[in-house]
Amino acid sequence: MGDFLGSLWRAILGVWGLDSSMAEWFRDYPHSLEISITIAMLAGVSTLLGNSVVLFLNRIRGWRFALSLVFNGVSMVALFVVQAVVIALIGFLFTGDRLTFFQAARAVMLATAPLLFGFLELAPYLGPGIARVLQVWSLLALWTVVTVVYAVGYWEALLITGIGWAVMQGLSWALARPLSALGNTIWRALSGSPTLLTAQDLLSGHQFMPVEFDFDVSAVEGGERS
Amino acid sequence: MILVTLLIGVLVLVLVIMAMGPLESLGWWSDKGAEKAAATIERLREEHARSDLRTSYSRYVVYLSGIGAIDGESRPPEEEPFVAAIRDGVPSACLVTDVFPYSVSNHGLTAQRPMSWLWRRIEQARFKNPEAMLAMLVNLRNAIQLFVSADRRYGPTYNIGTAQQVLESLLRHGYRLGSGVPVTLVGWSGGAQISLGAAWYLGLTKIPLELISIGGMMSDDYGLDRLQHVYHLRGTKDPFEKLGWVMFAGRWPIAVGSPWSRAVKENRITIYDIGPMQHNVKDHYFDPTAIAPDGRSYLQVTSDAVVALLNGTEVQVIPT
Repeated sequence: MGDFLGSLWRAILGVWGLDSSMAEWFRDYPHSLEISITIAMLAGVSTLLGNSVVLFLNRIRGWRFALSLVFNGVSMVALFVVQAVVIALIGFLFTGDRLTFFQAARAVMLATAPLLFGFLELAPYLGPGIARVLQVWSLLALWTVVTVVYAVGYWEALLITGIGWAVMQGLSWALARPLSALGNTIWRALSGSPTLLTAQDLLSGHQFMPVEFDFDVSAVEGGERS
Repeated sequence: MILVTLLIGVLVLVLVIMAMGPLESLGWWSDKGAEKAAATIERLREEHARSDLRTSYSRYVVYLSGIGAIDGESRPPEEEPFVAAIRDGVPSACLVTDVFPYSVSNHGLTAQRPMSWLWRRIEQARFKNPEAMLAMLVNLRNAIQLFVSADRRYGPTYNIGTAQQVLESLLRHGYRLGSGVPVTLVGWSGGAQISLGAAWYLGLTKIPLELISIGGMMSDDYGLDRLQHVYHLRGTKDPFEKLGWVMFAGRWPIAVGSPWSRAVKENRITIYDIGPMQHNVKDHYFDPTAIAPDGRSYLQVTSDAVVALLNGTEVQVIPT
């Protein structure tokens, strides 16, 4: 257990520092999948905490709160799966190396280590800026990991990571309507409440946002503000 | 390397403390804030229906203290002569000073709170020594609430709470909705941002609103759209006032669509450089010992300027 925690800490520090020698060590480490899953889970919990402001504001409690967390968790897993598939495909096209799904997923999950600070998105005023910095940091981490996984130069790795990122953005645009409709349908069926979920939210790592806002300020002035 | 690690550790600690800052207002909103807001709206409707529009005052002035405040009536001692000067200088106005700007429920820090013992000790320490280092904790706590108010995510719920407190205080002091009697919010330092935030919701009631900011740390809050005018008094040596121009991107000249830029374009913001004041410690806006070339203390220069704006006369600044 102590060895696992030590290795976990080493991996996290390595990703934070964008240390490619750590990635080489990690590639050959026997418990690397467990470590990357642990990092992704912790990053997920932290990010969910950072996004929980939406749940507070929408007064989500009890089973709806639990359900929202489950949906958020599922959406994060879905995000990792899609990203892993995209990286594996783009990497194969550029290098000819065929990664297994788990190898690609391991790389993607390892690169989420900067999102361990995701809870800081709660910080007033600075939070949204911090979230963007963490996203960029994660992208840089993925770039470093891709360099090692595919044993390519920095520029080729940047191309793979950059195209992977662009494909994710494109997917979020193309799938916006169907995913929103699906999310709304599921949420309505389970809770009876409307939702505010976009595919951009899902694929960009933002979380599921159920909405309940029953305070109508416009009643006083006849509808002045949206 | 150790120093860098230490600095990063301190930075993360500060961010963690900041991350906990919105919990009070979020908890309030989640627990009872939405119901209270709806009840206030309903009460305002009834108030409108049976309102006697007469009021004894020609203007209401609401003073919102800086981030050193502990509750509505416990301000740093140096502000007291300033508050007294406004009261004396504008006798036809009703001066409201019992709103604590850094709590959505108007609960001062020494009221029933989990950490009230700490704030009471700090208050006692500050009575003995106004410059006590411990008092900085009050500033830190309240500064975080300033950012909560300025945050586009948290601001709406926080500001609806403080707006309710201002409105309830106005009504307690005899203000009549629909009377058209103007209300001037006087916000010192962080109180200026809280005023801006509250202004959005106060504007719903059609109260004619103005803001006088003294060294205000303000964002480009949407409340600017509901203010008839903002008078921003600043000291030329005030670093925190200058920081506001950097930190709040909506006030940058390139932010053409922001509420701040809109207000500037519509000539609803007037800036006065009233003298070489600093923000605090010494030579500040309320310093009675720092004397300007014209023989007035900095305290008098500041209070004269606010009184002049409230009376519609010319503001006398210290030439720099």
